[in-house]
Amino acid sequence: MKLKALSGSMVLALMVTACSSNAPTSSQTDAADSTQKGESTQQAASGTDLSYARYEEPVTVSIGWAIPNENGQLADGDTNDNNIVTRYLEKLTNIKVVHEWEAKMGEAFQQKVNLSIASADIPDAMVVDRNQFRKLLENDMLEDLTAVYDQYGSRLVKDIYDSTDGLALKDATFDGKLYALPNVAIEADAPTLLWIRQDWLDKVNLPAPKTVDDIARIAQAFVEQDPDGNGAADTIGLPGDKAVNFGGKTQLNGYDGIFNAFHAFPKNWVKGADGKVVYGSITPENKEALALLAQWYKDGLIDKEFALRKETQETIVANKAGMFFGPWWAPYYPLPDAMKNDPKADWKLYAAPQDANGEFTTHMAPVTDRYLVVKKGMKNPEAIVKLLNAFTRLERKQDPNKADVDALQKYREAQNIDPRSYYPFDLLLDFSDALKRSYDVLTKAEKGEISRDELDVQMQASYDAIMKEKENPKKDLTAWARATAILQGGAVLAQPMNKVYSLYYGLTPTMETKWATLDKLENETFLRIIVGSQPIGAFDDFVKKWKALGGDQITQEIEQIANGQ
Amino acid sequence: MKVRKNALHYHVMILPSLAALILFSIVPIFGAVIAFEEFQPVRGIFGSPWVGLDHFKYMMLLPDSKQIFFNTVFLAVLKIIANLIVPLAFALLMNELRMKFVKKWVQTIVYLPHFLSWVLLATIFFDIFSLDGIINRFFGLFGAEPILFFASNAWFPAIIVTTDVWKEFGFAAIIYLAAFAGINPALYEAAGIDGASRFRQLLHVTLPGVRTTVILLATLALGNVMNANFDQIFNMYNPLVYQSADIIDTYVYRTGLLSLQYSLATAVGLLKSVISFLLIIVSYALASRYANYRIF
Repeated sequence: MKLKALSGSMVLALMVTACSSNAPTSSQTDAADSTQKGESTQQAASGTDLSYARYEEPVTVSIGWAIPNENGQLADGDTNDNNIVTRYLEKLTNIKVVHEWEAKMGEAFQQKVNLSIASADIPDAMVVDRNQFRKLLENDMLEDLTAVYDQYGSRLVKDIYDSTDGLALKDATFDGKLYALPNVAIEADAPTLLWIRQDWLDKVNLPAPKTVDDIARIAQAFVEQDPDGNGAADTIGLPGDKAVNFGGKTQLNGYDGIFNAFHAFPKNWVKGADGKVVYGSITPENKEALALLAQWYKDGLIDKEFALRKETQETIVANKAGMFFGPWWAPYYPLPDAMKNDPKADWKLYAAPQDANGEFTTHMAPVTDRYLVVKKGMKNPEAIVKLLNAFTRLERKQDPNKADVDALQKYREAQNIDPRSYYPFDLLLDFSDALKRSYDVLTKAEKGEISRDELDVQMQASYDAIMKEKENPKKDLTAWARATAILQGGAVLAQPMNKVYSLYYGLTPTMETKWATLDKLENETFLRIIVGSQPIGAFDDFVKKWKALGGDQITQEIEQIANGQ
Repeated sequence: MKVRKNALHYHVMILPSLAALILFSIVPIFGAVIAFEEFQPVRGIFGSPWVGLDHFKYMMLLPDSKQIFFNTVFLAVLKIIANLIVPLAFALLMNELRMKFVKKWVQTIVYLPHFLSWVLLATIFFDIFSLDGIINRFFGLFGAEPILFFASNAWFPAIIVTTDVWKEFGFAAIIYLAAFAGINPALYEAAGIDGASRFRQLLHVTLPGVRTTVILLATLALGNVMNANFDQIFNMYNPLVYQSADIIDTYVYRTGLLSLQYSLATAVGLLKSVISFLLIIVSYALASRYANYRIF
């Protein structure tokens, strides 16, 4: 199930980034926002700076390439390493890209990367994940990219990295040196939000929730007042997941929101009151959150059987739950199933609960989880930066070579493939606030301030979904999902919120061997405290045990890493 | 050993299965060496650094280790005992039944569950024991508060053992029924002439008649003391009952395959195998002594 939800979120993230890919262009029509971005676009288009300069003499780079899952096929005669996309990029940069090896995207590609690291035979450049990146660093196999990035990185690429407040690059920097060009994922996937059935809320006559107490009141009303009106006491207040917290990108039924409201940040590394690094699951604030959840469980506000459920979404899909914690993309999954069973459902999204100061506080997810790395000693590391510049500009619809872009678009329609899949690297750079951007553009379009023609293809699709939903609410669940996720998710996430980033997202050497045990201890303790099979005092024992079993050592390692940067 | 010419083709026929046995059961044993290494898949078995007994020491430090060893032995022993007594009792009852037709039917029905998979049964039992399941509803009639059986460390081992027995007793009873059939009817006749009641006959003829079978099964079961049935527990447990139901096999599965701690998982598994091996030797010695059971 978790796998399904996870891949679901990935697909959605891709969809949203795709939807929003036109955002920078559209924002040009928006006078308020256009100054800085307009400039950068112009500069990028001028082609005079080093970032887009074409090599005089052809340069060859070897890469490890991920074979994409595509619906369509390349045109006859085109191959993975010689097609309209590669030819265009080569024409643009005069860089000949050689696929040293190819492997199917996903597990096969990961294995191939592992194998190439193991045999110390990596291509000039490839995309790796966090742990592979660390392995490569440890074995001193990577080229320092600090200088070439400074010199050759395009304005657009730098803007995107800057939109993360330097977090993305920091993630790829060690000892002050940049060893990889990371991706930038959208940050909307991190916060745990609250979905509530408005029709139930109206029935029990309660206002929208703000605090944890409001949530408790609603949960109690949902349990006791038969909101589904079937005459049986079969509704539950709040479903849960046996993982309790997710820490990074949120999933269905995580209680991260409750913990965050108490300023506890489980599964994240945060600065404690004394300024030292501390593991977010062992701070005293967790105890408050756990005590509250245990009380809710005892009072029957939380699904009694949540820890035993094989599928965490069971109660939601069966419309036994009218409120749950989840990500903004829940309208894609699992809500359509719930809507099929009960079309009257009117799901609304809230950023709740707020903390004691009335602010919505949330932990965030790593902005980046993949890294474009360059082999140590490679002759032209700047070629990799130039490739990234070129395909990012194309992907973000800022490529000034209109004839070529049109040709690509035609090819795309004719062959039913996404040109993006044939870039040399599967490394998508998008503004980390992509959902907000697409929300901004689409709400303007909805009001008629931007005409449909000004939107790009994907944005038009979103626009059509919103219009379809407006005319015929809930008739087409695909349109409903897209409209609800973007409009509600965008609106809620546009509100100011207090964002807390983990100080470190990777694995330390000690974590490799001891983390599983600590993680199990944490999960077991939290679960048992919530269901009442252990008293709240067990939390203190957990903290002691956690420290003794390697937690202290790991904290030190993280402290060193956090201070080292 | 001299191979007679006319037996040669039999030995040739064994070859494929022997090859499979060596390939899939003997060769992988050498992989256990990673229990003594800090195994890194990218470096392989030969390239990974040697750490000696580090993983075993770490294992001893883990609070989980004692628990999982205890759980494994506790659950396995309970199952062994229950799986000896219940089928025997059932077989005795069947043996006294004189209506052939009923006997055959009952026997067929009780042995059906043996062929069902735990994946399926776990779901069924989950429903039966859930808050609004049959069991809770039944006790609810008498005003009892519903119990979350699957989340209770007190109830869960009992559920594990009873469901396991329920699934297997019909099948296990076949052996006893066969043993009963092997008892010389003349003994019953003689006992009957001497005026022994049915119950007396059971006590003095039937039971002594199957004594060696019982002893044999009991001693052979010793080899299973470290096996508490991964299939069943993996499908039925949840984090709330790790304390009472997490066994070596499930632990190895989670550490090795989910957390990628290959070496630690192998160390735990290896320890289990070594203990099991010793127990099998002991049980074989006992079986050959008391039940005259010989392989060689």
